[in-house]
Amino acid sequence: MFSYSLVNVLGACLIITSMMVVLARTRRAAAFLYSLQSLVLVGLLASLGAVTGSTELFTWSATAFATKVVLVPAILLFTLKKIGNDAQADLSPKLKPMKSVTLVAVEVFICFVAVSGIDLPTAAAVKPTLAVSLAHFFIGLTCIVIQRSIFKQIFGYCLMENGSHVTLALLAPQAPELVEIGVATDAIFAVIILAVLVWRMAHYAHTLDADDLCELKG
Amino acid sequence: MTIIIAILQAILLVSIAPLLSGITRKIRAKMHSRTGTSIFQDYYDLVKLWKRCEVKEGGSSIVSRLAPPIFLGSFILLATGLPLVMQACPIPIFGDIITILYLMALPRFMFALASIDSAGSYTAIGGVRELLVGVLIEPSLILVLFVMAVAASSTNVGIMAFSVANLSAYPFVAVVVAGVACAMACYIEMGKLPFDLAEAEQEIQEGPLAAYSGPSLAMMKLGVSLKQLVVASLFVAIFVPFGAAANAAPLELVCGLVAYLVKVLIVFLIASVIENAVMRVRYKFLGRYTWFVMGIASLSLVFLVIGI
Amino acid sequence: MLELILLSLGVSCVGGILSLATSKARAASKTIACVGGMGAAALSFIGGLGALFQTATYASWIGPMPFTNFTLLLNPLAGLLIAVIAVLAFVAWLYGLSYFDEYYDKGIGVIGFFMNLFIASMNLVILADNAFWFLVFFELMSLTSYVLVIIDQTEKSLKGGFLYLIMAHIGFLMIALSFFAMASATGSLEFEAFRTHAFGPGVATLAFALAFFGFGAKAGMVPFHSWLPQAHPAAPSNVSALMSGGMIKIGIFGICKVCFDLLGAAGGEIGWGVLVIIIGAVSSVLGVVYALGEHDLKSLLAYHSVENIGIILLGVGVGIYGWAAGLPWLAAIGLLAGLYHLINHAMFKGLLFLGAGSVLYATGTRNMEVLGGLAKVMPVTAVCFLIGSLAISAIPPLNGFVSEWFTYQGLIGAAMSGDIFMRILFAFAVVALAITGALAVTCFVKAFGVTFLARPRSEAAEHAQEVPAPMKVAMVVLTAACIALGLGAAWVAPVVSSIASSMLASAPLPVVEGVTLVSLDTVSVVSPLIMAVLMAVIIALCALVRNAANQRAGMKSDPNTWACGYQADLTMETLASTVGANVKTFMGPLYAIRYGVNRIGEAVSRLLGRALEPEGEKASVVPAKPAAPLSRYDRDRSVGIAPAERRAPALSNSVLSVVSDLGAWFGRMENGDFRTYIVYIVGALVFFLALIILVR
Repeated sequence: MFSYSLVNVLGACLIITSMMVVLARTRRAAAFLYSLQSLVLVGLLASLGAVTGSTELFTWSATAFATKVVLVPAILLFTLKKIGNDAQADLSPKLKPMKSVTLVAVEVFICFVAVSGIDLPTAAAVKPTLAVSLAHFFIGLTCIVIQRSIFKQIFGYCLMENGSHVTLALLAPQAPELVEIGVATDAIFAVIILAVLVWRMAHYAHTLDADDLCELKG
Repeated sequence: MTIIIAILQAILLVSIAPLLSGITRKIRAKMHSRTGTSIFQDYYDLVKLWKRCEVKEGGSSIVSRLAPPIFLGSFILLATGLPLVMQACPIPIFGDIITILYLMALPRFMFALASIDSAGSYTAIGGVRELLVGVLIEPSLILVLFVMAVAASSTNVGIMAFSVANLSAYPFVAVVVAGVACAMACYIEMGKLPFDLAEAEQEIQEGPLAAYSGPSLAMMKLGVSLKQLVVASLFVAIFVPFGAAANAAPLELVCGLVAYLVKVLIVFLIASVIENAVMRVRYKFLGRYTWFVMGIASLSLVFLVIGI
Repeated sequence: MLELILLSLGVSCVGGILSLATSKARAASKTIACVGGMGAAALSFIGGLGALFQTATYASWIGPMPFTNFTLLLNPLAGLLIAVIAVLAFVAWLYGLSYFDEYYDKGIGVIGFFMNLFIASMNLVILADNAFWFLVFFELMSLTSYVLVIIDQTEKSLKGGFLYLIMAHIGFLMIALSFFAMASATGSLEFEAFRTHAFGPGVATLAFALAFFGFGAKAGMVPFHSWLPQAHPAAPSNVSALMSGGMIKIGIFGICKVCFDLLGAAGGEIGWGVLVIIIGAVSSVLGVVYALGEHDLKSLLAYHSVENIGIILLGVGVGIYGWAAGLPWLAAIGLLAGLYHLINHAMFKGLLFLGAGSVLYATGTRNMEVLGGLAKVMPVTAVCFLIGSLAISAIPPLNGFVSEWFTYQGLIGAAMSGDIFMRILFAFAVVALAITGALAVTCFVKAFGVTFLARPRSEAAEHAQEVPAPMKVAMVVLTAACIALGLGAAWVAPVVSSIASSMLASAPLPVVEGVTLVSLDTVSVVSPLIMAVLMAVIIALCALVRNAANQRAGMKSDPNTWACGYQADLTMETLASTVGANVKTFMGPLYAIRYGVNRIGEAVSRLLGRALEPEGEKASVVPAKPAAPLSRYDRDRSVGIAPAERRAPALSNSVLSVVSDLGAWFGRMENGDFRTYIVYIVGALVFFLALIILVR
């Protein structure tokens, strides 16, 4: 039972870290915080593996560590270095921190209400974590909506992706490796493509502001 | 027995309050690369003021005379009720969170009235601002305490302290997040930088104190340092009760006392380091910070509700 | 006990008629009205108090028609209301002995007649146990108080009075509909028949919702509050005290009576409690927020009535919730909190209105901006007003604190036992109550500080004199009541608790141990008495030590104020608007709601204006301007929402702009036109009814 509560505590830490990613002032800090969040995710997968006794989940956590804790932040930091002085420094988000935090809180609550009707194959005890993973989808969306900097919008995508990872682990802990490889590589390729796009845009338009970039269409 | 502890801890808090404020001044000086005054400087100031002739301003009424004793007295009363060296409240009737919050409104009420009473514009603005800080911080503070009350199944601070010390306060993450929000709220309530609200005129900062002199000013100054200590102690009592005595055995009490002093010293050290590392915030933008604390507090509420 | 109350009604009527008959001899008329009223109040006070400790008394007379049986019921709840109103009435009449001197030219006999009738009709509404007579007396109460509101015959009082009359009738209509819904199910207009009939959930919810909004309109809760700050200040101050302290409590009484008594056999729904708590929380916050924007002392107090009705509703809401959810201890503590606050609010609001009346009597103005420094010339009024302010701000150990303490315990206790939605709801209510408490402190620092402290800002304030003895005694009586209800909570709470348990038909909740108040579900205790003693000792010690130091070092007095090197001058003093503007800096959105609401009204009146006066001049869309001398201080009231800024059409921006467009649209749809208030109220009503039915 204690292990399930450990899973739940890690789920809560996932929310807190993702909130920190959303709130981070600088892009560098956001990248490091994202790495931290992925570390929590790895811990969650591993502890879930320990609780359910599924060896697949340990493999998952290992691949997640390699891709999400190391590779994705590295790609993002590298892009940041490439962009350098091409675009202006960090743009402030459109919502005030208080509103973003409250929004996150509301999203978590709504997701909890939504999942309270679902029966889990693993255990009813990790329902809060399922809510958290579902909420990550909305948190990611929030991040994309409220951030002006397209670079930070990438983090929104990454958060959504982390959420789906946890949902998958909770709903199908016995899923074959292939699925996991699909999820992991998908994330990497998407991040690489997005990073390249951001770098090109910064190089071309000298701005990362989504509002300004809208002028480019047509 | 507990009554004696209550009286002793009130005396202790009153006597170390100027010392802690002296230590903060020393730290600030060190961080500014100055030698700074002695850590006992606040005591010297109080003694000096105590011997001075008091000047009563023409416009002021009895309210100005009453404010210093009420201000200091209310915080002394609050100091008796907090579970500091013990996990339980020495006087349970002062240990209710609602009583504590509303008892803190009395000195604020008198402080602001005295500031208007002096008929000066700077003093009054200072007093009104002091009130508004209270208004802004109250919702987050009560929300945090609400979460704790539900987590510990009691509104009594002593029982909250007990359940945190035993790690039996149920939704663990909710309590931790509530602790973070409470620390932020208490920091703002202590009136440290960036929330000391000095804007342009130095007189606004010391607010209502501008019209005071002599022993009344000494009493107000002592009251302000005691307020900081009481607010910091409230946080320590609820969220960091570790080390406090579980029963009234003398050895445990001594350990509890030492633990309390160490905890409160650490809190003040951290607070003064933060104070000297940040810029002063414009009064108008104060709401951003307090609403942010409110956001954290509501996050802890959600964690409480979903049970993690 | 019922006989004593009936006797008091007789005395009231005789006093009123004699006063009207002798209206030519003005002093005699006034004395007859006041002495008669005081006699009647004393009798009904004893009667009401006696009823608290007895079982219900029932009396019935056959009426001329089958449905008009004149039935009266005196139970502990009715006894409580009668006793509270009797205290206020006694004090108001005592106060009137001097205060009514100002009303010699306005028909003193008429005032005496209608005020006696008003008090008698309030008592009869409380006693009536037949739907027909209940409605008759309810209407009589509205009409008599309407006459008292417009007694000044100024434009402002006529307008306020008319709005009040409209609102009273909307409330009346809804209450009547509620009774008819119940009567059609039972086939009788007797409350006894309602009481024993188990209504279906549909009828019960409909009847409750109609009664709640109908009585709520009388009580002045949001969204039916617009009349209260206009009507109450217009009446003579002691009548304001009676209205704000007493009459609006009839609304609360009605809600409790319908819910726990008439629908008692049907049982409650949790949704009712939720509705009452939400409305209570919103009323309390908006009431105090708007009070902060006022610089008219009596309007400020009237807005605080909205706030306190909200707090009472929070208690009653917890009571309904606990009752419906099958948690009797929760129901008992909620009702205890609500009823205790009802008593307390009657006392301190009565006191504050009398204090405001004394200021008006001494200076001729209610505008705080031109007062100041009254504490030195009117010490008794100042001390009474200060204690009233502390009590209404819920500062321990006074009475307001005790009832708010119970309210908090009820809300937190409910959250402990509730499910996830209920926890969020009660957290919202607790936060609303905390904001209300903190803002009430700010508002009363402003009201007391700006009126009584610093230096006088006008001739009138400088040359004011203390009011005559009867007015002083009246205020001192209520001050004593505020202190006694706080310090003596350990003796009052069990009595109120027994009333609550008589309403719930459950065993009384243990709330007291010795001199300590106990909340069992939240494991907490408090003792106002011990707290007061310790506080007095510590503060006295501090003061003694300080004074000894002063004696040794000497004291000087300096007539000048230190203004940081500038010449101190009266325009530099803090005004009510200074405080208001400061609050607005942080609470802007809440004022924007009001501004938006006002603008909704404007648009509706424009529409109505077009429909009703196609050829005539267009209805005025400019909000009524305050009197010219005040306009300088009125700047902070006219700050609105900034026009929506349009930026690039990113997703979030379009969402944001939709929201701000909605705001602007709401904003475009008022002035003081009563028709707009009606449309607004009907809309609100439809919405809430739909909500209830949907939730069920």
